[in-house]
Amino acid sequence: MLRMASSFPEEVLEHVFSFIYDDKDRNAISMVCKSWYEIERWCRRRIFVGNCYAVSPPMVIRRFPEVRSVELKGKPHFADFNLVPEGWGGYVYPWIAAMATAYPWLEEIRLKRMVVTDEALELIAKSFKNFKVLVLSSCEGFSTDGLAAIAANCRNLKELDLRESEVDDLSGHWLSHFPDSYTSLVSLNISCLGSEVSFSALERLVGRCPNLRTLRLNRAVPLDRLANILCRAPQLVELGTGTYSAELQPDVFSSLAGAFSGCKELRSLSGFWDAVPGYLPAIYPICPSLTSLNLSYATIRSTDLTKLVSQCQSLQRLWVLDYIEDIGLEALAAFCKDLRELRVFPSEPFAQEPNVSLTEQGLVSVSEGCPKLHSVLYFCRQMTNDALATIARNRPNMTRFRLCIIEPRAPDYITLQPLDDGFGAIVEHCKDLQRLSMAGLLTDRVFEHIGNHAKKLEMLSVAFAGDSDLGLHHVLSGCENLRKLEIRDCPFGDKALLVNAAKLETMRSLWMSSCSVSFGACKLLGQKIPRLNVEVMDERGPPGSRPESCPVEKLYIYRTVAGPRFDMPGFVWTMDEDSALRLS
Amino acid sequence: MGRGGSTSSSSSLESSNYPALTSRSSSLYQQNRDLSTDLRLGLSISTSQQGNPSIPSESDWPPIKPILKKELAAEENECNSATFFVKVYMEGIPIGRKLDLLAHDGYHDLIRTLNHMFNTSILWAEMDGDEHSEQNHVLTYEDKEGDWLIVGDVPWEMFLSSVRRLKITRADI
Repeated sequence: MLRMASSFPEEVLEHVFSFIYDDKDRNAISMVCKSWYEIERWCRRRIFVGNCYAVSPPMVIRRFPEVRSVELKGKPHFADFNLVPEGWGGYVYPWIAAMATAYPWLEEIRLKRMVVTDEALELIAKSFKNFKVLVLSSCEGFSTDGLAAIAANCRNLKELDLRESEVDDLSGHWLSHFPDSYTSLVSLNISCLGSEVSFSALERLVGRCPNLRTLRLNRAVPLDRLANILCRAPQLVELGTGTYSAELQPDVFSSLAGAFSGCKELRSLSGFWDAVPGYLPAIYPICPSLTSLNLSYATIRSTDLTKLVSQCQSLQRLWVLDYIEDIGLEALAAFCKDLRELRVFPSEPFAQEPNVSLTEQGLVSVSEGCPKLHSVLYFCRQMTNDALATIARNRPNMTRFRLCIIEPRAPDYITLQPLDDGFGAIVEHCKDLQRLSMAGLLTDRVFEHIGNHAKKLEMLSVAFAGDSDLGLHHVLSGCENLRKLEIRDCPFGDKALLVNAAKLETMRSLWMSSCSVSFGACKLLGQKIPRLNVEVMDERGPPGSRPESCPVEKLYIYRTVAGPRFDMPGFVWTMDEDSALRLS
Repeated sequence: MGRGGSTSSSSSLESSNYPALTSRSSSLYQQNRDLSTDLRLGLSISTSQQGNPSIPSESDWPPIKPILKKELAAEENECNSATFFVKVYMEGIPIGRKLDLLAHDGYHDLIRTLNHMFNTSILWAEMDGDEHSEQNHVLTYEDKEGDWLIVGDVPWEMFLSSVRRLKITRADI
């Protein structure tokens, strides 16, 4: 076997490897033998770093010298919900600086939950001559000046996607920095920007880029300008409207309807800020071919929503506010047989009483009527074990199930029992479940079910649940494929963590906030397991100033080969051998 | 840490309370048993159960992204900002009024406002027979084709998309 491997010309192997894209497969190839490791590392073009602190830029560059595409993720997922204080970290600049010299031919950068500065953007614009794709998902720290640098310098840019990033919006003028000679735009997503871009610059840009297929506008683009933009890009596949509200005027309506009808390739719609029912019929002609509809910002009510979804027979993905109500979800179940993903968000998340008639029944209906449904995010105010069990039996193909009941610790509203058995049914029937987020009143029993059945589970989110360490122990010892675990406000302490310490090295990360993990236990973990960074976050001051038994506010543990990081703010401490001595 | 371990796994962690805990841990982590024993022995503290259950603050619960939270909060504070003002004339009075149709839920709401604005009783399409005699005025509207029609025959949304202006005429036609 060894002889064969070495007699195979390198070029041939490299050519064969070039057909392998999946990271796991590439990693497997690199483990066959030393020469395959060498050949593979020289021809790996794309890397994904799920936690930017798990490895350092020099380490990546040393191993993979010819990378063209980089994807990095920074802050923990709970940063989305304000649980990670400002200044925590996730800075991309060191990566850009290192790659600027090492990867002059870099084409793609995709970042999620990272801090990106204007300097970083300017460095990107200057350093990579063939730069094509920039995706900044839930990022922050940059302004429209940085965007201007990208627009002005990246001649081959195909994709600029700022989805859900927080941008310091100085002015809309940056868009005009795309030179008149620039025509390669394929995808533009500026939906998170507040300020108005020059509409004529936008129209000209859209008009001169024949390959444009994705355009997500921001709220500042008024409805009466949409038709003009659409007419210049009838080849669009994905569109995000601006504000979808205006005085009802027949000529505006008819030109809009005409423009939509002209977009025969349109498959995905989003935007719809302040949507007014009177203008919805403008999209009816293209509804039957829509596969994705994001109405998260559309405050239209169930009658209009029902009418709309009933016409979208090809719909695969729907994101909508709970204004859709059970009645709208029943229509969805009846008409949208190809539905794969449903997300229902709360229209009044802080109201105590329900403002709409959306209950567990809506989700049950969709689970019954849509055989391909496998991904759910559902906010509601009541749930029963029966409903969950029904959903589980209906949809054993479920892979992502996230439920949020607005009231924490809400029991089954009919039996007043915990929802342990309901979620137990979910993990028992849905054998391929990869992601689970639980809600309601939950005891240690639900964790026992999860530990026993959720063998493919990779990510688990827990809040206000459990009775004791036994709960956490069930999960850590039973879920073989667990990669990410995030916990808040649960009575989990030291024991389960310490007993399962070795498990933590097999996972990407563990987040625990408002639990009962003591400072002493954190120190112990940090000292004993060198390839884990155990970071304690406490805004009350140094943990060493309180008794060892005192629980820490927040704890973030992740595996790493890069050692402790040095860019932490004052309220984050790494527990390792040195720090334990320093802090005691 | 230096605390020698002669304790077996079954007695090391309140085993009487959590037999599953200890047997589970010993079977799955045989090779790390020294480590976990070490950790357990090194730990001289006990976990405390949470006292009063915590109530989350609005800044981090329910778990929706800030960008959506902001949009929804704004919606709750302000009504839909779209307006649709039309002119309203009463027969015999040369100076007209202006009225925002979108500030009304439907015909009943509109009639109520007009009755109040013009201090009269207005007849429209949906009224019962015996109310007719008491009405002084009739509500009509001009549609986009320039025709004058009585208000109330078509659904409210359809009315909104075709109305140009309103006129209140005397009932004795």
